[in-house]
Amino acid sequence: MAKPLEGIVVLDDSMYEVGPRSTMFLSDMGATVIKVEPPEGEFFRSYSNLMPGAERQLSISNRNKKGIRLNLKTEKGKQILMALVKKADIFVEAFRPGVTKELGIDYQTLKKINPGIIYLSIAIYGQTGPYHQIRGFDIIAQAMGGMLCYYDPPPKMQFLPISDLTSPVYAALAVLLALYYRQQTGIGQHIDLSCQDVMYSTNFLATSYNCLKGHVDEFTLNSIAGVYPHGQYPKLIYGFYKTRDENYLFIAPLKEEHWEGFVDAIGSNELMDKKRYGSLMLRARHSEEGARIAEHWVAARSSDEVKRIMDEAGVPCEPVITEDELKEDPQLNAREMLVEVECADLGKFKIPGVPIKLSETPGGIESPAPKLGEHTEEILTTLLGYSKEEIVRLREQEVI
Amino acid sequence: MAMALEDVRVLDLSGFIAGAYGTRILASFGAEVIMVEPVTGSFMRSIVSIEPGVLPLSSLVNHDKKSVALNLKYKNGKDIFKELAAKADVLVETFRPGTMATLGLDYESLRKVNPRLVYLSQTAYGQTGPYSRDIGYDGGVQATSGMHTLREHPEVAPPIFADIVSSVYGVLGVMIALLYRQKTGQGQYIDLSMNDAIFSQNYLEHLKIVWEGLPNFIIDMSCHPPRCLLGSFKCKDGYVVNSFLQEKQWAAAADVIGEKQMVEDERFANILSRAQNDEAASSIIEGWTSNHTRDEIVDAMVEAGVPCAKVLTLEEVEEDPQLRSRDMLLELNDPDFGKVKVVGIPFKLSETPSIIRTPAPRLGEHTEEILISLLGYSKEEIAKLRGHGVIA
Repeated sequence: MAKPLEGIVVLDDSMYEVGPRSTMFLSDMGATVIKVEPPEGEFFRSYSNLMPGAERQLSISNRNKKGIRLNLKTEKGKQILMALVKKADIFVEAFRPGVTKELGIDYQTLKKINPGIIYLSIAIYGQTGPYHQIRGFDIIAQAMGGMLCYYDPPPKMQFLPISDLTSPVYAALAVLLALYYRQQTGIGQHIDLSCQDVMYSTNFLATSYNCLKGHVDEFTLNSIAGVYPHGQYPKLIYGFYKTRDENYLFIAPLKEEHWEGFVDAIGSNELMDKKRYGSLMLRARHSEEGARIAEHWVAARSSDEVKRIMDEAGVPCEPVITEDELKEDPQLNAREMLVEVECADLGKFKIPGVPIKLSETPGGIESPAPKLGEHTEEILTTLLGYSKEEIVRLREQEVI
Repeated sequence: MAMALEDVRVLDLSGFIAGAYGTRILASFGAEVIMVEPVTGSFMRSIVSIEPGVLPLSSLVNHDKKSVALNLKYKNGKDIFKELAAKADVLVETFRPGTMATLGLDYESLRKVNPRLVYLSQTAYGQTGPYSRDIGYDGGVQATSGMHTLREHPEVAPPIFADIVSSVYGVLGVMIALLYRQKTGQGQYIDLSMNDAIFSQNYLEHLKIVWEGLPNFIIDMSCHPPRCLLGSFKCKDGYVVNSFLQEKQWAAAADVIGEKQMVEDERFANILSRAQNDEAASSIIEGWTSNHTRDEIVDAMVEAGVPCAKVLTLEEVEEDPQLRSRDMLLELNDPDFGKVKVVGIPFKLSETPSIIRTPAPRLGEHTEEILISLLGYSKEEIAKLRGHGVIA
């Protein structure tokens, strides 16, 4: 089947997670993404020294890509990069602001070679503003975007690199917006993405708090934003409960019909009191005492039992999945969210699937991450027209 | 200034933040986003807004959109909707699977009136698979995608996350489909499962899956980094986060703290030994941070080349000069609510920047405008439809 971004060439000069993951969304959809690596390879390849097989990690975000190994410190290496820029639609970098200028690969320079190029810069604080020169990475963007403020101490869970994982979705979206515009006008442009901005806009807690402040009373503000230390989401309408078998379940009777089903299922006369629980906002106000009744009821039952009863009553309810269950989860498996890949030295292993399902042009996973320099020769011969002899020479000169 | 999506018209049937957050990004780049709401208003409008004059939650994500109030249960309402769909480029809906088919407004029906239509269904579990019928909310998706398992407090509902992030995945799908349509003229259907999207964000699980069968000390270190490599530390006035992943950062921190032990003690000789002696290593750092303010710590660490930042509170984040300078919190004048703040777009395009112009519409504010200018209805027809409760 056709892939929607076939024919689009992306030059990815980034490493770690945030840049490569941005171009993953493009390579999943058929764009030719060329991963440019220095002679020693990208940072994550060094994990292999500590743990053989660690390179499998690269396939999470670098699947479907071509890899070239290029020494940009040599003049010849730089020339090759510039020749690639001429052929590219998109260029991606995630250096500290200013570094691309030093390297002679900033937007202004590349634009002269290829006026239609779309140039994506990802930086922790973006390319402008008082902090833009400060070094940082994922956790810094989380802290400065207000993502870590709601518990004391800041929770470990947030060490999931949320910024490195979320910024790329916005970055890929930005690239496609620019590409859409270019296909109509021929005009390329520069994209300046800040991870702190991403964390702030994704942090519904902070943004809703700041936007609603002054417009609603304090109780409402705290329960909407779920703000520590002031309050949390009202459990009775949106909460997690512990079951008899020590699992947790999410139950959210938000809408009227859900609430009726919920009260029926629990069979509590108290919760039928219209004066206390007659509307969503009343239920929020009386959440604490109401939730105690629900806690009691859930604690006397197993997770399976609660889920079955709530399903029958039409109440939104989901068990918290455990790590072991996740890999076997029938829903994720039915939707091909775990796909097996194979490479000669790393064997067979599973990587996450393509999350965006398009009916006509579904995209897919064709190959794991490239080996270091796997496609150097292919790209140089097919895209740039180098001869075998020239390639041998460049290799001897340690350019490629 | 030119706008990237000037020629794109979107019908937005989102019932809540999921969906609506994505179409809002499209609107900020110039797409004409028409919310199609029930005549009583979408569910979003009722949240928070218990009385007139109280800003509803929906205002945060519906700015720069238009509102048409239409009863899709009436045949007339369906017909009008199909006329709209014939003139639209994109449709976004977030109903439970099957609902649009029951209304006769599913992709198969609408592609007949408009084969160029890009149709996005954003639902909790997608259109297929054993959970597809479940009613999903943000918390439920965090529970089933493995996100909530990572939290230290399983009894506390996590902040909204899935609604927002999966909406960005949704419009990413829309843009891919629009680009394909540019080449071929063909529309298509996008089946976005929020559970798939949030599972895709669960990198720790991915690491465990790709590294299955390998020695687990690196898995542990990557998934649960010791605090002395990457962590938060208590200060006089809150918390900072620090990273000492590189040897030179640890040495620089030792200089700043003025603690020779950090470089001399063989327990702290390299990254692995520090990880093994995390408690001792971290307590040296915290011993110092707890006697200093966040500003003092950040200034000293950044100067020394150690990644470090304050953990901002919600109040601080609003005032942060960096976010301010990048227009991340903008003000709009709302005729009903006065000055209303909305969040900016986190990526800046040089030629076609995002523009935030109008506050969220009142229910049905544009019903008449759209029916007249886009569909060619007369004032009399509109009055009749209104009288029958088909529109509002």
